[in-house]
Amino acid sequence: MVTEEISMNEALEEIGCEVIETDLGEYILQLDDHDPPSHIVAPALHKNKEQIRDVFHEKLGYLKSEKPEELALFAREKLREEFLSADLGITGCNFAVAESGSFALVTNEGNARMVSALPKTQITVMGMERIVPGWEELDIVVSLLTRAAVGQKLTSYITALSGPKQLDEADGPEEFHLVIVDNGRSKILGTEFQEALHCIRCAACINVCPVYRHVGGHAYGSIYPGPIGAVLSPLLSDYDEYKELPYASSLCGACTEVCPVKIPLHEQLIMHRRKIVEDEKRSSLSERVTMRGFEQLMNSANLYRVATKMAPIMSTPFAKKQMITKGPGPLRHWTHARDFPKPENERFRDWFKNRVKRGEENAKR
Amino acid sequence: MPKGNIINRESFLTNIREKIGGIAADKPVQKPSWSVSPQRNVLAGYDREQLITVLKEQCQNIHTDFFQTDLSQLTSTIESVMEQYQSKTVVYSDDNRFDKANISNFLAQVDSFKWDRHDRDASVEFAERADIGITFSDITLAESGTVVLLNDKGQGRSVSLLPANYIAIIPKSTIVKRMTQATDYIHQQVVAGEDIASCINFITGPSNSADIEMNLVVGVHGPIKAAYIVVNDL
Ligand code: SF4
Repeated sequence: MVTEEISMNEALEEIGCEVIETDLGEYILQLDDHDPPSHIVAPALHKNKEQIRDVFHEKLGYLKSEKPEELALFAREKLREEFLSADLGITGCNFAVAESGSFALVTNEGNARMVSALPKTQITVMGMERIVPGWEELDIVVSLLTRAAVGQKLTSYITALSGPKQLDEADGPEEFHLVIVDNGRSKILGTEFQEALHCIRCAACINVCPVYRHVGGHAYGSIYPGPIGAVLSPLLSDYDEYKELPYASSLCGACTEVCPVKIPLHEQLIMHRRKIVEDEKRSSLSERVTMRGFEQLMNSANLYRVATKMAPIMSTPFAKKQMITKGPGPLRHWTHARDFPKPENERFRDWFKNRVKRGEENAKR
Repeated sequence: MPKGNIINRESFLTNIREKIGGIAADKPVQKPSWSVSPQRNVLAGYDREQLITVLKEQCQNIHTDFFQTDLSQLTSTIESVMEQYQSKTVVYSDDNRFDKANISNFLAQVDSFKWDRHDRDASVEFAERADIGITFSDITLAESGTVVLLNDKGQGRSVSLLPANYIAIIPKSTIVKRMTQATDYIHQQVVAGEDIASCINFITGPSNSADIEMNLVVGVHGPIKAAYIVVNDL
């Protein structure tokens, strides 16, 4: 994932390398002319098996059915050749262990094992926040990750590597390089968003997000979709590129509830919105003017009284059957998407007063 | 172990120190002491027999065939698994436990290859075409149904990876509750200043993927079938 974040494949291809993705999902996407991923655990989630069959057929001459077993077996055979002939293996890193200089790869398919067993040189690219103090803590984060991501007690393979192979070993890389990537992460340290760096990329928040479930991963325009993507993308990049993402949430808080490392995701989204509006003044001029007016109105008892008296009268010309469908001025933004109920003739305060009176009358009757 | 080079270390760390409030470079890092550790309560009080039952049940969730046998029956159990998996050629790790368990003789009679730590090409080439790979488990985790292989020296990373079928021989004495006990063991090695294995594999059943429409497919890059054989008297 971090290799996508830094566009590593493109850079390698530019200097003439042939780059093969080995995760089944990523492999499918790469074959399909670099279709971007839509989910951080199941990258090809947006494709159905017929589409995958067609991609395999078109690009590799696959002739069998769309059965997942047959598709996977075909990919196994194709990728096996690649593993055996590659000069260089590149992996990400789920967690690094400080006390022994080890790092752990968590997979189900076994591709990370292949990449770290067969090529003679290995490069591991690690986001700088993926580090735990010792093995005791590795136990905790791995257990959290596998349960939250796929509901397994442990995934099929958790591989902990500590440097290159030793002299008395036959397989494993002879040369090993670790690249620790900052790419905007240190900017987040010491800010109100620091907790976002605790993320273990389990995708639980993504799976429960009602917005993600409607719009899908591609709509976010970032390799990190869903609630964590909406928090992280503007931090790693900037608001110029991603100022819409913090608004891609209903703030229902389902993400915060499931997050295994308790990142207050929806609260961080509100913090983003506050920064975008108050500190960065990125909201539109008309929104700012409207909000200033609203502020004045709400701060003055007299203005409020007059305004609420006037509202039913002023809104009458715009209303059809008690609904405003084409509102004037700032209301237009609202009625563009949905109808606005016409203000009642009797204000709440009047209704409340009258209700007491009516209630007394009722009691007498 | 040959020492590596670290590039850009100081500038990287200085930047981080500044960002988190100017921590002095020479101040030692204090690891917090954790106030709760629920992982230590998992399967608390279970004895080995009970752990074997847990392991056996977990094998159903991870698509792994489970066998339990005495040492005297180990060869025939392996034979019958090989038959079941239609496996003729065997690659196995260079591990003296094969001699101790008296299965080296049997393996010498079939089309087999003992992993050669000094011959990468021959070893990988045979493992690639072998029908089945056999290793011993170093630590076995009952809760998750995991065999832990401390892959160094003659163990061979490819033995449990390249063949389409895999057998893990599990000495009963290696069975512990969960990952916590394995990471404790490795942590103790680190504290004692010992070298840990260059590649430690936690293997839980055969390889699988849910990348196609979230359908579980068993057998992707690694083994397609896996069997665990618990040996009572090892
Ligand atoms: S923010 Fe939490 S729930 Fe979302 S991916 Fe990260 S760890 Fe998982």
